[in-house]
Amino acid sequence: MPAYSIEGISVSFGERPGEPPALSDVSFQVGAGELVVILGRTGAGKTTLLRVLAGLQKPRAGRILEDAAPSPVDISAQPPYRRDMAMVFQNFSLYPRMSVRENLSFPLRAKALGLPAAEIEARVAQAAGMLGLADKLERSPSQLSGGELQRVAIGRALVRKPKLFLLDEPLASLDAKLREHMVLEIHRLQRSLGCGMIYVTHDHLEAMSLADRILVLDKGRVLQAAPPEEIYRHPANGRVARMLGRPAINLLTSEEAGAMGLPLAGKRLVGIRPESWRVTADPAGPATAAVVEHLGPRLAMVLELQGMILRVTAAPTLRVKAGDRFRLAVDPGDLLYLDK
Amino acid sequence: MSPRTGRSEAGRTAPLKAILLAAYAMISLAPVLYLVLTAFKLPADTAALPPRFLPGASAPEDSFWFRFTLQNFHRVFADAQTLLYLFNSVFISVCSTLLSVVVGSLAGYGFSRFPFRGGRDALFFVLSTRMLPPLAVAVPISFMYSRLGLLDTRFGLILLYTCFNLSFTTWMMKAFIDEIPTAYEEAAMLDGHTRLEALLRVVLPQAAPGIAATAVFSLISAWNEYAFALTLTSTDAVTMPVRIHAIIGDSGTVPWGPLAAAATLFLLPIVFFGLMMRKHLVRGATFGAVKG
Repeated sequence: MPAYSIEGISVSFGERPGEPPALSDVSFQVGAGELVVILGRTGAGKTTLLRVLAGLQKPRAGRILEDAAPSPVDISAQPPYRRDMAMVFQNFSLYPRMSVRENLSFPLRAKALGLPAAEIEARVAQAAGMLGLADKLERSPSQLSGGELQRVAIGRALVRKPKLFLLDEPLASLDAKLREHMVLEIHRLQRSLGCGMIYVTHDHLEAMSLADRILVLDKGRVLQAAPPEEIYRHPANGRVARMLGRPAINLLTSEEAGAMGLPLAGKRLVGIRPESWRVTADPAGPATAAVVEHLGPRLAMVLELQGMILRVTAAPTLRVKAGDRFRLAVDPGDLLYLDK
Repeated sequence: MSPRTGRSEAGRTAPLKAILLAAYAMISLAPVLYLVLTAFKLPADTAALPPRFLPGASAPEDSFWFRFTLQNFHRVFADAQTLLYLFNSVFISVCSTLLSVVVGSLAGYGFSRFPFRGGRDALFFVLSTRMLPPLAVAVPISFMYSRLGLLDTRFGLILLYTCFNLSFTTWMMKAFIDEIPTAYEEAAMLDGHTRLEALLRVVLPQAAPGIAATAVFSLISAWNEYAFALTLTSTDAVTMPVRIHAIIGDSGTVPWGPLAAAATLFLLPIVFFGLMMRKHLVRGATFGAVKG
């Protein structure tokens, strides 16, 4: 039995006719200690889903089951403060009139917990130490940098040792370097605490590097839920395939694939990852390099072939300039046959 | 516009602003000053022409000097009734302000956070209770109060002032709470606090300037209320505005000195309260603008 089972969640905000509802029939499970990343574009319904889980948003249909002895409990009707979940908001939502210490201890001061002051003190000190905030405890949030605010927000969430962590694009407002560092931090924290975590992002790299399982959400529907490698290698459809990997996957219609002499399998699309191409320089080759980019560990090219635009990556040692010609080949095992 | 040109422009207009503000302050404070001076005058000096506005030990003929005396205050303090009525004013205003701010904050929070069908109409209905001129409802209310045994009781006035101020405090507090993002109370509820705890610990502290501003306006309106106090009280629950008016009517000639002394005493608490709340008031009045 998974720690949480989310079954058939639907939410609508009175959308106009023809528009899809915010969430329709979303179902998935979170295992104990599992890190699930919800990946989707802006407006896909990621935050709404998180708010439903937290109890901040009432779903129109569906339920949330929490594993418990002797049988799972439906927590759909429980208010947020009963759910034993903690959330890190996109804009941190630190309490502006409280110091860092007060912010961190706030969840522990809930009446229902009834913790003694010494225990609160100890747990705040522990969280602050873990996140490198020990010397910032008396500051007010307005005196902190973006990264520090972010760590306080995470600390406030973990200090209560919740069953499930909800993180809503927690790194969106940080710069790239800090983001990379914090992804590692969050991963390490989640592993050491061993709690379940649901992490919302629109960044496929964040999703790939963090997730035990990725839930791809688009227009309020789950397109696929699987481990990162699985999603990358066997995307459920073209939409999912396009979301993961940069440069993006090449999606050819069956006519285009047929024109290139690729084997068809009766599906509407043939997907080829940029790195799946085998590129050979050949002055008489059919493909022409239009754009060449050195990305460091590899070389990204845009090739033109019979009026098609193809994204290709190659070893950085390949000497190439725009206008060079190539022969292309691809291993049939690397072809992805997809429905739209 | 760059910050520098902005600052120099503000620098150029600052003296003009100061002059205008000083002139305005003088115009609005002059009557208050005259009132306070009159409170320290003997009857002969109160209506003298030209007016005498310099306190001194003696008052020569045709000068601006008047003889400084405390006898008006002695008279006011010797009058047990006036002291009782001053107490009534303080007690009734403070109680009704507390009640209307507490209930208005809760109502404002409700209107702000739980939109419901007809909510805007309900809000307008709340405000419409304020549109009736007090004297129009004074008769039915005094009839109801006599049946309920609330005539001439402090509780009766507290109840009435609370009801009348409630429309105003509800609207004010709704506006202030609208400005506070819901994210904070959502965070608090996820941190394991009930909605009420979230309201008390997170939302209301942030609304403090708004609460202060609302309390000041509410207190002033209860403090100055005259029409209901006049119709609903007779001996026990009379408030200062009614008493001050009664001093005028006591005899044929107006006893300016005791009148001014009573009015000065009536002024002091509200001035003190206003000064106390000054910092919050300025922030409260410009709440939206200084946010963040």
